[in-house]
Amino acid sequence: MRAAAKLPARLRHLAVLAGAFALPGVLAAKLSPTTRFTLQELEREPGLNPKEFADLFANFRFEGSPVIRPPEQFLGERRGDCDDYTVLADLVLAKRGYQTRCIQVKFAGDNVGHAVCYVTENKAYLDYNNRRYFVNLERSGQTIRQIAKKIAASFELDWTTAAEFTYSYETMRKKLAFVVVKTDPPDRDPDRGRYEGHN
Amino acid sequence: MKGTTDPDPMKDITLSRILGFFGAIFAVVVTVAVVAVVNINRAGASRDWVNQTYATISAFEDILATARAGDTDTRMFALSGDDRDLTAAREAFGAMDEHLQIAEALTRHTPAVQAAVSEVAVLARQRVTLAEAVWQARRENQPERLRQLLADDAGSAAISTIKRRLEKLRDDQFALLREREQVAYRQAQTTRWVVGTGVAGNLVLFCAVGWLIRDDLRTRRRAALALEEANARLEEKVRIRTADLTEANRRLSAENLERKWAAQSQDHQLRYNQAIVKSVNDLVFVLTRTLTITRLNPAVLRATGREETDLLSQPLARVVSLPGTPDPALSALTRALAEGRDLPDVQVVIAGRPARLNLFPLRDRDKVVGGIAIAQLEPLPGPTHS
Repeated sequence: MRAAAKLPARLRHLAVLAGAFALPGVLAAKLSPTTRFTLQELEREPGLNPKEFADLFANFRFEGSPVIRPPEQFLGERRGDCDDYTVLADLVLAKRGYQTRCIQVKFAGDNVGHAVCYVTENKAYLDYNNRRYFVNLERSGQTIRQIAKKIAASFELDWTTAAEFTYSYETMRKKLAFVVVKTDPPDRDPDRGRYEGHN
Repeated sequence: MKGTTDPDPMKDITLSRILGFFGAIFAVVVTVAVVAVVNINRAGASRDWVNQTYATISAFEDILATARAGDTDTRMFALSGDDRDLTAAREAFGAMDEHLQIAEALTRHTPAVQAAVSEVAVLARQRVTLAEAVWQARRENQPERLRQLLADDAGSAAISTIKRRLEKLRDDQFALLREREQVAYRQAQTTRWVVGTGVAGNLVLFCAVGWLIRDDLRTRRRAALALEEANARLEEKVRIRTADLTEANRRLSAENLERKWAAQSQDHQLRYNQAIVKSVNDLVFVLTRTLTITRLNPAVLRATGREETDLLSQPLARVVSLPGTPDPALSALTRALAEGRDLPDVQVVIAGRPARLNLFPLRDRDKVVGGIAIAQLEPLPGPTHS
C-alpha cells in the first residue's frame, strides 16, 4: 500500500482500473484437467457440477488397487480406479448438495466388480471408464437393478449382485446398504420403492 | 356365364390342400420357435442361476480368505505394532464383512443356506471383535492382555470351524450346480429333439406340397390337352356342319328359283288356259260333286244372259235341264260323278236352247272332287228357203 501511495495519481487510477479488470478473471480461475489439484481446491472450485467434476479427471490414468486410495494419494498421483473415483465423487458432490449414491456391481465369472457414483439430480452416474469422453455422465434409471444392468451392458458382461454402499475415509470401512441379487424378483429388491417420489 | 362363375373344383381342392399343408408347416415352425424361445429363456435363467451359484461359492471362498488374512494381519500387528499391518487387518475384515453381506443377500431365498451363512457370520464377526480387542491392547501397549487374548485364541478352532462350514456350503452349491447341469443337459436334448423333429416334419410337409403341386400341374396339363382336343373336334364338326348348311342353302336357293320358275310357268299356263276357256264358244261349268257351279266361262253368261254372281254357287239345274225327263236334280250327272266316269254327249236344254253336254269328273289323285261340264249349243235353225 505504501508503494502505491508513492505512485502518481494517474498511475494509481490506472492500477485500480487494471485490478478491477483483472479481478473477475482471477476469481473465475477454474481447475483444469491438465493441472494438478488437491481435495481442498476441488472442494473450493466454484460452481462445480458433476459434468465438470468428471472433466477434471480426463487425464487421470487407471491403476487398480484392492483398497480405496485416500483422496490426497489419488489426486496427487493422478491415477486410480473406479472405487477411488466413485468415493471421491460421492464425497465432493454430496458436499455441494447433490444427492449421490455409490453403487458397486459384481460381474459373472469375474471377481472384480465395478463402482460408479449415481447423481440423482442428473439421473446419471459418473463412471471412471467414461472420464475421457465428452459424455461422461451416463444416464440411467435410479434403482440399483437399473444401474447394474446398464453398467453390465457397458462391459458386455452379466451381473450377479449389485449394492449401494458408503465409505468412510476415516475408518476405511465400506458398508453395504442394500444388496440386490439379479435372480431375485425385482419387486423384492431391498431398495424397492425408495425412488418412486424422486424426479 | 356359368363357366365363368363356377369355381374350378380341382383348383379349389388343390388350393385348400396346399393351404392346409402350409398351415401345418406354419404350425410346426411356430411350435419349434416357441419351444426354442422357451428353452432360450430357460437357458438364460439357468445361466443367471449358475452365475449366482458361482458368485455364492466365490463369496464363501472370499469370506474364508479375508477372515484368514485379517486374522494373520492382526497377529502380525500384535507382534510388530506396525500400522500397515493394522490397516491390512482392517481392510481384510472390512472386505470379509462385505463378502458376508453379499453371501447373505445371495442366499436370502434359501433359508437353510442363509441360516448356515448367518452362523458363519456370527463366528466371523467374533473374530473381528477379538481382533479389535487385540488392536486396542497392542495400541495401548498392554502386553499382558495381548498375550492373554492371543493365548486364549490359540486353542480356539474358530477359523477351522468357519473353514469347515464354508467348505460344506461350497460343496452343497457344487452339488446344486451338478444337478442343474443335468437338468440343463436334458433341456438341451429336448430342444435338439424338438427342433430336429420340426425340421424333419417340415421337410416332409414341403415334399408333400411339392408332390401335390406337381400332381396338380400334371392334371392341369392333361385337362388342357383334352380341352384342346375337344376344341379341335368341335371345330371340325362346326366346319363340316357349316359346309352342309352352305350346300343345303345353295340347294334350297336353286329349288326356290326352280319353284319360282315353275310357279310362274303354271301361272302363265293357267292364264293361257283361262284365256282359252274364256275365248271358246262352248259353255264350261266347273262343278262340285253335288253339281253346284263353282266356276263358269263368259260363254255361259252370254248364253244365259245372266250375271256371274247369279250363277256361282247355284245348282247346275238352274241353268241346265234334261229334255223330256222329270229329273230336275240331274241325277244321271250326279251318278256319273259319283261313279267317277265320263258322261258324253248328253242332250240338255240351256236357256231354252238344245245343247249337247259332256261331263268329265275332276280328280284329286283317285278321289273325285267335282266335275267339268262342257256344253255346245245347237245351232239355231237358219231361214228356210222355199
